Amino acid sequence: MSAAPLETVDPDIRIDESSDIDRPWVVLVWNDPINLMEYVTLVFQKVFGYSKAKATELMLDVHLKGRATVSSGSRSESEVKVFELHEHGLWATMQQD
Amino acid sequence: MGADRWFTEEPTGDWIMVWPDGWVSDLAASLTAVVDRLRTPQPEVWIVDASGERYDHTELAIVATDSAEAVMDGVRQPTLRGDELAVLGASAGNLSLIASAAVELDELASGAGGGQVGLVAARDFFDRLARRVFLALDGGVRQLPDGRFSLEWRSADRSMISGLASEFDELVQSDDPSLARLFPPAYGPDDERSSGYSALTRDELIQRRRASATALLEALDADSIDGDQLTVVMRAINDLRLVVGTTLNVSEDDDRRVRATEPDATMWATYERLTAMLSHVIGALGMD
Repeated sequence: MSAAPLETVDPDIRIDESSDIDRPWVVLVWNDPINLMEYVTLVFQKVFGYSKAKATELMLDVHLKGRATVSSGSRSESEVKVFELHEHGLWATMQQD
Repeated sequence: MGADRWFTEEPTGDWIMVWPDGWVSDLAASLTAVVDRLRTPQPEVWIVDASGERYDHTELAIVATDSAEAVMDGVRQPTLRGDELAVLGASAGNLSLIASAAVELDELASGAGGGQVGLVAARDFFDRLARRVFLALDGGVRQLPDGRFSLEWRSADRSMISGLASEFDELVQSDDPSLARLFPPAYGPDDERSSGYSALTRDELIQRRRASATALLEALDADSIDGDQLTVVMRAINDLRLVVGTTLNVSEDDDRRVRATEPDATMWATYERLTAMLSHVIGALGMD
């Protein structure tokens, strides 16, 4: 995230409440019965560059709690990550935090 | 299984063995347990092999002694050729089988749990050794000394997966329900945004999946591939596995073995082979 001060946004030019400047978007990965645990860990490492420890922790969250927030960012950043996760066959969705 | 800690293949084709601490004394104890058990003559027929041939006690004693010698010979060498390693594995398999038969006989005589502890340990020891050799030789996916990877699946696995990958090209362009896991709704329950996203991305996702499946087919014919190509292979196998798993309606509790009498037995066997092959790739790619 940029460290620049937030600008005041004129409500008139805002498209909707989901503008990138607003609350960040989060990417969720949901538990599924098919994907292998080691596979999910490896995908988190590859897609996000997470360490094996962090990727494993997230994978276990998905597995045990049913879902985990794997990243947050702007809407377009999140769409890119969701695409990559779908490309790897993970059940990923995004929503505004 | 690219880097099995026990067996490493050199560029020359020789295998270097590194046995774990304490392993050689476990080996000695296991050999003693099996050979001692065969010292007392037994009238029973012990083993009937798959071709129906019977091995009586005398023959088994010879097999056990020969196998024990072969294992000891192999273990004493600093390196083994592939065929010598295969002999080591087969000999370990023989010893495991004989130990297993002896344990069963003992249990018949004195009830469940009546097998001698040493023999039970020997059975498991040789079973592990045989499996490990088999896996190293079977290869799955092996990392070569130059860092590239070689896909060394058996021909049955190769033809199974290339058949699936070929069919996948047409399937993935359809709207078959088995594809559900390949195209999840990006915005979850927000249908409007999800379909908007899908309209923008589905074609690209289809093209990438077709390309991965094609890359898998090419990789099966290649002598070796690099890590990036292996990553694509991994995605392609995972796609196939998701399709088969979705068709089988796999659930979280499906931790079970295939039964030949099930109507879906063939597809379950395919699913299990895909799981094994995917695990080979993950093992080879595993990052620290």
